[in-house]
Amino acid sequence: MSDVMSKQGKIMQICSHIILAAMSVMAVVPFWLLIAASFSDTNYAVAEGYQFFPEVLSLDAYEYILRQWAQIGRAYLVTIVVTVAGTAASLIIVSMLAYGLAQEKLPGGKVIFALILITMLFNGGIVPQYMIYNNFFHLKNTIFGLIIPNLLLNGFTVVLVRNYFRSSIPGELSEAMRIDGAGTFYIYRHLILPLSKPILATIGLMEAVSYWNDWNNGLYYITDSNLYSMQQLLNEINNNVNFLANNSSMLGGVDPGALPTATMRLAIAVIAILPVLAVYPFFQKYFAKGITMGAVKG
Amino acid sequence: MRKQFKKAAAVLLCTATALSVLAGCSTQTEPEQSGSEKENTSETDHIVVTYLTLGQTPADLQEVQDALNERSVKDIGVEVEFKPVSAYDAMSQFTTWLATGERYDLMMPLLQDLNTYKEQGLIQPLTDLIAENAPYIQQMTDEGWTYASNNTMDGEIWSVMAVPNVTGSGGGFVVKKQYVDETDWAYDENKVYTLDELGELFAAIKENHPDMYPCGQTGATASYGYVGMFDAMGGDQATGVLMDTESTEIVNLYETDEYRDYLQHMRDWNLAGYIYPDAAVTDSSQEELVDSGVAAGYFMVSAPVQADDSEYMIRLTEVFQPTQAMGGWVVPNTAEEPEAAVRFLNYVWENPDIANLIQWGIEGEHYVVLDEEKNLIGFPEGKDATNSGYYNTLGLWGDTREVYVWSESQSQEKNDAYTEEAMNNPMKDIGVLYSPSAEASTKIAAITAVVEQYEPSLETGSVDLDQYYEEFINALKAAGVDDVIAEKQEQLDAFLKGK
Repeated sequence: MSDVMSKQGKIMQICSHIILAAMSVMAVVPFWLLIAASFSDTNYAVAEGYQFFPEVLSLDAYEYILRQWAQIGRAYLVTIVVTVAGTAASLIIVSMLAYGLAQEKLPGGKVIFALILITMLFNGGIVPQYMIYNNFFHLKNTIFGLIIPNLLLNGFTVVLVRNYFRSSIPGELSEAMRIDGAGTFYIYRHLILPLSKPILATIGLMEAVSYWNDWNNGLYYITDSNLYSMQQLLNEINNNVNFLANNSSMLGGVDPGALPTATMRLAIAVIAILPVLAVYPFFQKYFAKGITMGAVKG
Repeated sequence: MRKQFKKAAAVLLCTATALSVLAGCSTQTEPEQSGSEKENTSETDHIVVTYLTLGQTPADLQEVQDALNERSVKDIGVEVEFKPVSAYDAMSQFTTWLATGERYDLMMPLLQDLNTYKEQGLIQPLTDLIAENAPYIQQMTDEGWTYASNNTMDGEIWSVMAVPNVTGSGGGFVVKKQYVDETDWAYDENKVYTLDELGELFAAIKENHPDMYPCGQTGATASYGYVGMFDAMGGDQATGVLMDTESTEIVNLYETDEYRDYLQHMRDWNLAGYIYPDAAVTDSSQEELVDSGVAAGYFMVSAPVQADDSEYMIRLTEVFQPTQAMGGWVVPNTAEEPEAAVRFLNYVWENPDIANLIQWGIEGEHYVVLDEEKNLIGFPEGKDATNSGYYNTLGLWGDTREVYVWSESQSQEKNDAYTEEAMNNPMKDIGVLYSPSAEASTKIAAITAVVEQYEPSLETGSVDLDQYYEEFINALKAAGVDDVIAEKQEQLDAFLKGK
């Protein structure tokens, strides 16, 4: 009996290793190709296509980045500021809102919760949204245009955090504090927040990554290249290079040579993903823990 | 407890203040900015103008704008505020901006369909505005210049385009001189070559450079417009064309013998190894292919500006004058100072030095004049393409024949000769633009989708012609191409009758 079990277990082991190995290869290969291509010589890359092991190496693309650091460094800074400020603001708002909603006795709590659920299912559409943010809030071409729309608050994270507060932090603890004379905010600050580090780290990472990778807000709300984020800069360079290539017969006088080549664009992409790759491992330990803890109990 | 109450009160107060600020915004009819600036400068009109970039706002744009305002406020009482936006974003965003009421006094929908703007009521007719505020543009229009009047729809002018430095079109092939000079293939600037003769050149180049693909055709840029001669009455080439300057019959370009013959050549050349194997799908531009030594040249409009000093322009058709519907500067309905906007256009079109200022920046700082006669400029000492604060801008302003150029190959002499040749060989449909009915518009969307599906692989010779060509034509017919062609023919007939 036990022999059979272990045999089955072994087969299981081997199969899952093969499957997982295949999946990791699929995840790693594009990154490797990206990095290898960014280090290959432009002419070689055009002539031979992108190779996993380029024969003609060149640092031109990275030299270009250094030359253009005024623009690229600025975009980097914008991305960092937006990611840090946006994630921090988002965590504060989400945790406070979720804490309120986690109170069983909150008057109208169900209505508020329903309203939040509705935003997960429906939204106003892009044109009304653009109108509101642009005409009433005047977010266009300000840093807030990158922070507030779409990313600052989403219903899903509120629900996750609320459920975590309800299921993983015993109500008795806050009751005990209340009896000792602690107010609501004191309890939130000194009991709830310290106990919910895993879930906050999890959604914090999710939000940080979506801020880091976002180019949609930039597309709609930023036209001034001084406020471009890294991803938007990359997107703009790509699109405009193609635009120019496809319409060069009608746009005389422009010097296509002054625009970045394919390998330069790949190098910018490498620079843009580096910080995320570097930070990810440190948060990973919280990741799985946080999600499952918040997910049980509706 | 008390302390906490205070904190809570503070939060509430903040929220209330924030809300009242927002409420204040929403009741305001005008954006604050323009309101306050108007008060400050009661005598000068402030206009908001789009500034198209290639993704990077020039570092010295503010400086150029200040230098411009210094002159324009004094001369015509107009103060300009440039709003930079990349040319690619402009394609998708302008209509949203205008539909949501954002203020712009002048806008440049580059390479976009003005008909859409007009139909949606986003732009103003300019005929009267020009007559009252733009004497120079009016005078040139009266003299027969078409840079304003060629955007006439429903009897009204809707936009003013930059005066092109060269007019006319024709098929051509740009090729690096070195590859041609190595062979004994005879090049003659003014001779019109056939595709077979071009094929002989490819064969000769391929023999000298077996690793090279002489014909730098790519799927993204392939167009019969660079090879053959036709005119689409200001519409898409898929919606029916005139095949030569004598013709008054709209036909389906893709069904013509000329087009079939072109595809046959492409297929033969592809099989012979003259075309880059990944041509249909590559995202490298044709210039990149040539610069990296993969290709020797590419198909391009035969205007002299398209070839630089290291290239020959091989003509594949005679030079002719097509209809032009290039778009141009429009005055949106959200403009607050339309008169000042048109006055500013007039000012730039009349004064080449103002057009130069907007396009190339400040003399001595961003460029120096090398040859006054040839209008030739270069970088000042210590500056180049990578560190200049104002370079590589789009030429969208004024009379581009008078605007400086960076290379002798773009000299106005050659352009004028080409223009004259074209002017003597006009298409019959000049003066009328195809304006599709709602029903036809839907069909056109389907037709262009079919073209996008088949054109890149057919025109790079990547697929078997016998099978896919027929499929392509049938798909076009199924999408309703014949109805669209009939409608276009009707509009052309009506125009020719009234002439």
